[in-house]
Amino acid sequence: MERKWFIVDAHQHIEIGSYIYASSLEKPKLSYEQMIAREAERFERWFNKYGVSYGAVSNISSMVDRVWRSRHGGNEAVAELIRLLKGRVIGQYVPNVFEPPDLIREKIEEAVKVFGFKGIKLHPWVSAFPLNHPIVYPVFDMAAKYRLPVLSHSARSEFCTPMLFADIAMHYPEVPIIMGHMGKQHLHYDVIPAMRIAENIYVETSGSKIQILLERIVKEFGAERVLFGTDGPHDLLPAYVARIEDLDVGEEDKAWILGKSAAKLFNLPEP
Amino acid sequence: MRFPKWRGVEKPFILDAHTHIGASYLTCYFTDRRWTAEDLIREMDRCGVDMACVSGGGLPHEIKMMNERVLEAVTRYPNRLIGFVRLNPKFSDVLDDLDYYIRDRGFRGIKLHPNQDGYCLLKEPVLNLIFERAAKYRVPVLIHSGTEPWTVAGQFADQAEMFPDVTFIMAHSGLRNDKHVLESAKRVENLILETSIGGVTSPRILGKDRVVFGSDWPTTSMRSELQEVFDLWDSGHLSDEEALDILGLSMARILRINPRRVI
Repeated sequence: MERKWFIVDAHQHIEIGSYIYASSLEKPKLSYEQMIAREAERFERWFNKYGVSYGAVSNISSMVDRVWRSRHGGNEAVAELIRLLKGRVIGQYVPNVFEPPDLIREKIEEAVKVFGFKGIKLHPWVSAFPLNHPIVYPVFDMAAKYRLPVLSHSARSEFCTPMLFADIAMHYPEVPIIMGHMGKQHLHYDVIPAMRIAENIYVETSGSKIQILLERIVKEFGAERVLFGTDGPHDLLPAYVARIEDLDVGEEDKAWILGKSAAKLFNLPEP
Repeated sequence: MRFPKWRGVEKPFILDAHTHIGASYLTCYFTDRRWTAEDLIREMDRCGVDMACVSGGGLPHEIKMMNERVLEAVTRYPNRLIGFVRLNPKFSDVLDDLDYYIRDRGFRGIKLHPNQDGYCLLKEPVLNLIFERAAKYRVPVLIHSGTEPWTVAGQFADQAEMFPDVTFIMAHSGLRNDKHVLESAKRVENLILETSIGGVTSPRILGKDRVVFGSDWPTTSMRSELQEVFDLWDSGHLSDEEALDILGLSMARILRINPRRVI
């Protein structure tokens, strides 16, 4: 792919853990170490093939498993990826919001200080909790303490509508909250009002394809509040970039969406 | 736009099964802008799209007027645009409009939007009359999908079972929201998945001519929606035959038209 842009993928997932393999009812054929190595190789190949500089990564199984089987419930695999890919992976820690508040805080502290995580990922839909419920407050307390952006899934699930983003964002105005998928194709009318209510709401582009909505957001709030994402990594990266290139916004705005906004938020150097 | 030239294939025939002039359901509350036939042709030229199925879109009171604009457009660009009549079963003259545009003016399909017009795909009685005529005129019916409770995959399959001679095209393939799309499409052979917004379903799951490319332009970037098919082709997820079918040949067969490359 032609390397025209500085690209940061603000929404990626690793595929290691009980979710994937429990779903197939088959025991994994590879050892844990082999799976880690395979994922690291897959990510590196993808970064290089598509000219993506950084990816913000979380593990799906940590969100799906509401009772964890290890101390960090699969986040350990992302920690390994952070270590192996040396600076290209922005680790997004998935907390278990059903654990006691002090334990949540303790684990996030460990994730930041020991493993080098730089963000939080929440998936209220698959984990089944309302994004603005007090059980999530310990997570946001730590996000505020360590200046961690929080990426959350958004969609028509009652657990993560854009209005819940506005509510939690008002509670924690110092925490950048990234609305993954921008409400998808059903709650698109809620996105702009939520962004008006809380200046610390950002949007991430994967899963939404309404061009005029993104153009309106850039016009009203500026491109700095829009982060490019794939929900991958996958082979549709050129199509996803084409969607940004085709927006009726300035070239500098496109550069912010594709990479600069995330780089600023996560304090990443441009290569 | 650059086209794949690997495996001996140069510019494929591309038919966009889902476009609008005027506005689309998803743009009309964000902007007053109305897109013209010239805007559509310009976009098709830029993206290398040879032909497009086009219906009028916009606010509910604009629908009938937009059918006239579509008629003007297909008259002006007969080699590029294929008219689909946008019908609202709540209009008392809906069958008159159907007969006029399909029988008398050469439109080749019907477009329905249960979500915008507020009726259920399964329970609106006038639909039976529309589908009977679709069978009589041998035209496909393109229907918005993915929004409960009006238009979900199981309702498509139920209607497709009741009207086996009608080709039902599920616009958006369920909008990535409906978890019954594949199971419903497997139940019946006359249910086709259209790719806009919902993504490209592997035709290996459903068989030949069951997946067609559409963009829902101007809601989406036509180029990006098209690029998704190219990306899947380029990365080996689609064979040459599967990609060429999705890009246009399958829809040409559904419409019984000659797939003519004009770009």
